[in-house]
Amino acid sequence: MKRFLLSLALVLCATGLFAQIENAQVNGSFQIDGQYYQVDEGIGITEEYIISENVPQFGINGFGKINYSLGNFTAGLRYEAYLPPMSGFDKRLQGVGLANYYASYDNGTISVTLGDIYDQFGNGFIFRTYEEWSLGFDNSLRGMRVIYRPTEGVTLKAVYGKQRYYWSSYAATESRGVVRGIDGEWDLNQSISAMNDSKFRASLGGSFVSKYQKNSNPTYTIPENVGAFDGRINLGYGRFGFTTEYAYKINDPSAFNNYTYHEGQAFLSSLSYSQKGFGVILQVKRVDNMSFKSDYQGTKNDLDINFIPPINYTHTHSLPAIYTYATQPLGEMAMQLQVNYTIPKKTIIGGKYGTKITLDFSQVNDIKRNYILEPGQEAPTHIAGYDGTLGYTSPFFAVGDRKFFHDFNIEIERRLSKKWKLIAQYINLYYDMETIENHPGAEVVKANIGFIDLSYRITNKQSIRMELQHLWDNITAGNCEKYQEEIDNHPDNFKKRGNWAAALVEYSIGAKWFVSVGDKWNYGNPIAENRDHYYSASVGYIKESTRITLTGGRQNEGMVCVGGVCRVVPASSGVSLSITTTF
Amino acid sequence: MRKILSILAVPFFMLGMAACDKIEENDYIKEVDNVQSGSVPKYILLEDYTGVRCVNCPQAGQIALDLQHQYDHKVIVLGVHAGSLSSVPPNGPFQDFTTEEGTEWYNTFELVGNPIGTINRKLNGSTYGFDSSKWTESVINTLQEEAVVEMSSMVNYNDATRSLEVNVFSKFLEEKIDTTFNLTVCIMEDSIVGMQVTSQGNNPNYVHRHVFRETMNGAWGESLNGTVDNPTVIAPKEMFVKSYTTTLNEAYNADQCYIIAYVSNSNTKEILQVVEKKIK
Repeated sequence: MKRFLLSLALVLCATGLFAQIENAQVNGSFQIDGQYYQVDEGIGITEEYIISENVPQFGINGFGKINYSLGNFTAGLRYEAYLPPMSGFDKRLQGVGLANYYASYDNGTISVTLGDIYDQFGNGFIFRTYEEWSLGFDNSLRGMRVIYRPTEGVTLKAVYGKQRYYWSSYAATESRGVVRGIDGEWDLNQSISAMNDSKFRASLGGSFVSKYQKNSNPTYTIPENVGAFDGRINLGYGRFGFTTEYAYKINDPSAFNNYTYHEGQAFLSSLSYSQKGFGVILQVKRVDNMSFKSDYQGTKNDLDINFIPPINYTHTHSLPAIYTYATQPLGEMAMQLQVNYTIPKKTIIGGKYGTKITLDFSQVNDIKRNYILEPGQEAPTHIAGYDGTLGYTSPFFAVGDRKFFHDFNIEIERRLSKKWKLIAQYINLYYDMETIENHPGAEVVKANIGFIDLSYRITNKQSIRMELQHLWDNITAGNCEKYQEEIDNHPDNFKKRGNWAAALVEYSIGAKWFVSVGDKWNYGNPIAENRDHYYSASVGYIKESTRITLTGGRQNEGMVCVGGVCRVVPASSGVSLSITTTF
Repeated sequence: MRKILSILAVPFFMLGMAACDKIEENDYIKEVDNVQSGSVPKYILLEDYTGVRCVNCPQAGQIALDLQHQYDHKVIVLGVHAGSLSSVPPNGPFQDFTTEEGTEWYNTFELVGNPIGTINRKLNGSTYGFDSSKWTESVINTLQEEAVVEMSSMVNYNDATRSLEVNVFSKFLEEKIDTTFNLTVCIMEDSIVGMQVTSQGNNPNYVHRHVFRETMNGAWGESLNGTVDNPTVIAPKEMFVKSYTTTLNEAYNADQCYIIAYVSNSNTKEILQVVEKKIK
């Protein structure tokens, strides 16, 4: 009898299990990027360079991500392999393993997640964990998250854990700190029934994040608990929107800020208006000593707890992307104004199909700093001031004299006929290479860039796209005599300087195949041997959610930036293969 | 409304009170504790991987020098010129201090960029490299360890012939069974004046400290106890004496040259003890 009952129970359980599995969903994605590197003395990639830079013969980065959900339950994992990492990625990524995993339960009122957490409070001023494959960046938090929704429109969140640091263990013996935070968000339109359908929209939010790390520094009294507060308001009325956010961080001396004890502040405010065919947005931002890491010894992009959003136009074409702005967490005063207007179709100026015009201006300066100096002491060489001091004071609304960046651009997008489409853009750029790329003494780049991007639909299934780009640099071959001594002494600062020309042709067959050939030519480089062609050819195949791209040729040295976070891409030559699929 | 606000406010207040340490201005800098030493002092090797075109390297070099002074020369510094910023453009104003051994170490330890350092070649997570911001802490932690090898050296140098003879004595203080240990002997030249990129521009009169020149017995030295496949057991108090001779390169200033010898675990590469001796 007992055996019968046991068998029956097993059958019932199994039946129930299968019934549940039928309702389950599995999705995920895979990506493999590999590159074969070869010697190419034409662009300075010699045997000696490959040895001294430890460039692998073949680099491969890959991941597989699987998510499973069943009712209120979800779980997922992410496996990564860097065997070895591609050139330009941090070598500490080398290895294979289960990088992330999580399990979560959410019944609408309460949600609990255990494992690796990706989340963001507000704009991310004091907390944002995310993964960016193209940067090799992952600052996920391994621990626990609880979300509680006590009433309609109110969300409370709490997170606790330790951040990912390449393949390092999460054991308590690891010196990096623990991050804990709470966040509350209140959407008044959802909470208050009278406001449900109101034209006036409002939500409020606030966060607090603290990191705990043991102080093992022999010289400085490092605060073991560093707290940061954040408050935000989003308001809207009809077509107008206004958002503002302010964050404050207490003293947080670190290797990044030269062990200075100045507090941190961040402020971002945005005013926008939009209607059909017209939109305008004005943003202002102030950042002061807001690098916030879970290891006070961290430098570069390691172990960032927070994220400073950039407010600059994101260029996707290759020549403007040579000089992409990287956010300066130690201090910046920034503004951006963007106006979008579509000249209506069937008008004299708008043409038969209408014309989109985008006008964008953004500028970033340093904040004003009054350094704290001993009598007779000279100004510090580090921007944050002398170590072991408050560093500096800074009036909140004052703009520093030093300009880091500006970008004025105007873009016109117009369909010329049923078959032809044109995008043209002019960009005026100011780029303080010394600050942005940490090249002391480097001359500022003052460039003008123009491009046209022309598409022609040959048939319903075939199209061709052409790009022509040109960059005029203020220091280029023929007008760089006065910089000759500097060029001889600091050739690294001139690797990508001078005029550039670029062209690309891309031919697509349906949505399945594409072939492209292109060349970028740094013909005006002040150093004759750097006047190189960077040619490449690609062929791609897309089937449903799978994309395979094979590329051969040269890659110029540059920076890849996503959201103002950048990684240096060294020059390379070879063949690369990329396969991505989602399911 | 009041209920919602109180729900929002309470946890913020509680966490905020508990999780902020405000440091008073007078307490920013603390007094440094002296490192305790046992009966056999432990010396450590700080390899500063540097480059003449590396603008941040002079600051890192200063950190290394400060550590050496602060810990009474228990920190022995070797400035290894390796990595892309150590390479020198042809016919330029820079001297080439790169070496085959240095490049081999840099690549084997999978170091990235300059400046970067190793502290007794101990692992820092999954890598050997430490940013200069982490040297101080790592040095202090390593100095706390007990010495397991005692080392000394004798150096004979003949100015006329430039012949150099080095005898290194390595005494193990505890039994070692499964691993081989290597002795590596390096020649270091201190205070070479030459061009260096600095944050203030090029400095033609920069003093390059602790420049690694070459090894006398290969990049990884010589095993003291058999082969990797067949290590011989080292008994407590067992002493190894090794001698090496060479002719000092004419390019080196003998008055500024030192011998740096160290015993390392051939498997993990960790350095157990190091000794430094001026050749004149």
